[in-house]
Amino acid sequence: MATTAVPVPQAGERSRWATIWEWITTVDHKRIGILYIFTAIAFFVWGGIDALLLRIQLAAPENNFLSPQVYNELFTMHGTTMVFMAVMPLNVGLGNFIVPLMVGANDMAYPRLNALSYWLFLFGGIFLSSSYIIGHPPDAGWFAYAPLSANGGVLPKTNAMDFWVIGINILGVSSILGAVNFIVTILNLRAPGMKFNRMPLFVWAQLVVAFLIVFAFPSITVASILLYFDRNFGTAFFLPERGGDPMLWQHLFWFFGHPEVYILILPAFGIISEVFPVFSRKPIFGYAFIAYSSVAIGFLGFTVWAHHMFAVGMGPIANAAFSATSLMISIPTGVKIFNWLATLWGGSLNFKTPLYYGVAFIFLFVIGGITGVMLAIPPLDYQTTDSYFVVGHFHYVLFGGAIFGLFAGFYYWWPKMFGRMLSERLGIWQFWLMFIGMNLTFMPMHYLGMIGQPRRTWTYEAGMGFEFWNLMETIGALIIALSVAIFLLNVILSRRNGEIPGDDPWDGHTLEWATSSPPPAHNFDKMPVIRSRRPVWDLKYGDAQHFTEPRDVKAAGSTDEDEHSHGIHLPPPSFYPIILAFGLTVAGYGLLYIYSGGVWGIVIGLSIMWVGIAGLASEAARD
Amino acid sequence: MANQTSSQAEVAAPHHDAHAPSNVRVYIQIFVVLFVITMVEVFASYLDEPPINLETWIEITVLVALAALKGLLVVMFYMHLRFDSRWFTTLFTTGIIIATLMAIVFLLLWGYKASLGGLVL
Amino acid sequence: MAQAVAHDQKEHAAGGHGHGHPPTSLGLNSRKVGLWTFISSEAIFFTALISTYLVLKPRNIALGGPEPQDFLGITLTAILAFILLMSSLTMVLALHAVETDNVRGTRLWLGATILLGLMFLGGQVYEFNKLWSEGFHTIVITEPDGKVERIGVAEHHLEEELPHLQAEHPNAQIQDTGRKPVTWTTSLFGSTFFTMTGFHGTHVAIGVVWLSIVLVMSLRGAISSRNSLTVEMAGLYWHFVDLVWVAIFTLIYLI
Repeated sequence: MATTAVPVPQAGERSRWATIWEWITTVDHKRIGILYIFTAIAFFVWGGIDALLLRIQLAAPENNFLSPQVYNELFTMHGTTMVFMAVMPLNVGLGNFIVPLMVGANDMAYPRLNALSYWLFLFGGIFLSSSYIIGHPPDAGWFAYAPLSANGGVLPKTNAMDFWVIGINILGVSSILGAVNFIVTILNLRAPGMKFNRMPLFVWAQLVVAFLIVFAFPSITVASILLYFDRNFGTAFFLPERGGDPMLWQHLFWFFGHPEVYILILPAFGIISEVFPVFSRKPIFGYAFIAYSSVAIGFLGFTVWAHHMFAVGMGPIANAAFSATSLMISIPTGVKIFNWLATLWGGSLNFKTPLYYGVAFIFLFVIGGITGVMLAIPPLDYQTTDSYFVVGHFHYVLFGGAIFGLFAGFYYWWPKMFGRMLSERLGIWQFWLMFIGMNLTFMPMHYLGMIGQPRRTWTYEAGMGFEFWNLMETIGALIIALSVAIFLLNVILSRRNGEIPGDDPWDGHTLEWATSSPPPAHNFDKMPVIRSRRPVWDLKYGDAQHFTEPRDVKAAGSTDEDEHSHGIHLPPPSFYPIILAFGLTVAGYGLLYIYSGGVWGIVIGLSIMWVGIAGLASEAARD
Repeated sequence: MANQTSSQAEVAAPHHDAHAPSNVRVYIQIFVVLFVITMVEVFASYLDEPPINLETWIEITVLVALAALKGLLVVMFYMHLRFDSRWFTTLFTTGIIIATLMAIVFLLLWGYKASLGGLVL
Repeated sequence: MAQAVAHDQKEHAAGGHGHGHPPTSLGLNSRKVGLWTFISSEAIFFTALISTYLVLKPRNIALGGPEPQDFLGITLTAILAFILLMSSLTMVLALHAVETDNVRGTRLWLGATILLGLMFLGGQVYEFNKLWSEGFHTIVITEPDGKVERIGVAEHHLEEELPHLQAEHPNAQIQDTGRKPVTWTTSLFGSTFFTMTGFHGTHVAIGVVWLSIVLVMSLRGAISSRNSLTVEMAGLYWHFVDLVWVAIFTLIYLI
């Protein structure tokens, strides 16, 4: 993995192995955040390559570049990789680095658990990806509809979907533990004065996302375990020929699947809500509306899941009810859009790369939102479901929304994370290429869907009017690839040539700009007094009525820490998180080969896990 | 913490959280109530059979209400939510609300009728 | 949330539990906040399993699967429910003992809780084993007009049921498809029931392991009122597992 080659903030004269060891045993939220981000970027590139191969296959009618089976595998892995191994961990990675800084904490609430979440993510990702090499990649789509996913059916009988089931569960454990960590950190580790209604909106978004993960993932856990039983142990939960109910899979999956959409997009909302005020040099407009609309979206998100299933025959009452709740979601979302526009309105705009991405985000996300409202209306959904219209819709939300938001966040926080600016010139180039490529790829999909091109189909016949726009889409995808390559180049170049930013290159508002770039291990030498939503702004420009002198962390802090030099208790590095994660993954491989000696894998895996648990427990007892 | 001895002499000032000190008498009273409710539950499960012959929906309503009462007592007194911070109540209740929503909508979707009256179990 | 915001400065002084932890913004112990969050996640996990049982139950019956009430004895489950309630009582008594630095009481009540947990697991093994050895017959009734009905009859009711069915459907063709054992895979009832109660049993087993670790710590003298949280956390989890049984007892066994 590329993860160990990351620049170390305070590179001393230690040997390479010592550095690697340090990163493996780290419990520092900033390093774990960086590990998350680089691992997720690697998977993002991988998932992007999947997508390019799909686009090359579709560039011409009746193409034979990929076989139908490989096409199935690639679109399944593209979706799974992007959702679980790219966008989610990118959000978690940024959150990991930024959230404790923003609330003025020294670290996450459970640093070792944080490391465990990361290693579970890495191993879960490796587990799923290893299917390319030692087995067959999952091939039943990222939502793995039973019975297709349960017993093979028309698909070859392999253990491909077992890779999916077990991998998803390893990643799910990682997500749930990580979410609990975020919730406790945000609720319980805020600096004095950081009241809820002063928390940065990125923190609000991460808090809501963490709750969504905690409440949504159990459903996919249950569903996928039942699927595993159907596949391996002869039960028939989802097998209609033996009385089971495939609809049960769909409901359990989408009870998770729809909140998952908000898990992917809400952090981007948070990033945009940080970027806009800083780059328009104004306070955010309608802070409370943006914060509480996130909560509203989160809660409503649990009431709309069956709008993914209008066409399966739930009946008019169920369809109408889920249509109504789905349409309601557009209210809090619209509230956000108007508040962002009002933030920009009349501001003295500082047009840097983050703001480019931010403004494009609004434009693209609104398109995705409007097609979303269209799809929430059952009669229209009947016509367009499982067509490219849907693919176009959710890529405007997840690419135009989540990915554009994330890039805004990268350009915004990169100087804080690495102490180097990303090049503005390359950034603007990257932005325009991505914007053009994105629209060229996904806009024609709406049209192609309307005239009838089905999604998840490996090819199409000539003469149906699909050729031209499919070719354009493939060109668009290549432009996106070029744009991502420029971003990677920018990252590499910034290590050597990047401008040294200073602590506060953007004239920021929130606490992360009060410490050095990159921050020290204990985060803050001095903690500003928090009297408003913009503590760092107060520190720089506050009037005389505000007491804005930085005060010593020790004074702001706690009671009995005399024995620590700088008054902050940092947990020692730990090797046990990676052990525990490794054990669980070994047990996962055991489950994969359950009928050919896999039981031993489970026994060995659980034993290794036990070592990790015992080690972590004893370390926790020593705290 | 692990190296502390448990000898009585070392006991410092009480270290309770916000909740009131646990009270053995209350614990035992709650247990008795829970036990009695369980007996009533077992009895109530025969309500729709001869010789009582009540409607099934009455039986189900009674049973669900009794179970909810038991759960409430366990959560409030044994898990201390009655005395502990409101935050724990909020965290737990949010989960229970979403769980209840899930269960009810699933039952509705699978054709159980809107009121408990039609519950075909 | 609003009143909490008003309180959060005030509660700052309240601090975490024990020593060495800096004060927290809610004045609550972080581990406890995390555990409650996890418990509410688990609540949804079990709700999904119980909902699966409930929505597949009518299908099971329509397909001639075993009728749950023919196989789930209320007496045994009532005893199991009683055992778990009892264990919840001993659990809070253990917490009370540790809070008052009653070392012998702590060990006694922790031991009792573990023992009751093991008894519950034993009861479950007995129940599973008994179900596994029982059988049911799917009777297919084909009416002269071609309507087909399937009825699941327990093996021990077969002798008395068959004449009834023949009397009720005088012109129909009645076919017994033979004995099937009540296992995990022979019917939707078996699949859903064993999965749901199996996961509950696994949680009980994890609770027993957790409590055993706490008991060992107590025997080594590492548990006192200063870290009563160690006992309280295990207790919260244990009561939650009991709570799930309260729901399963009613929704699956009694109704």
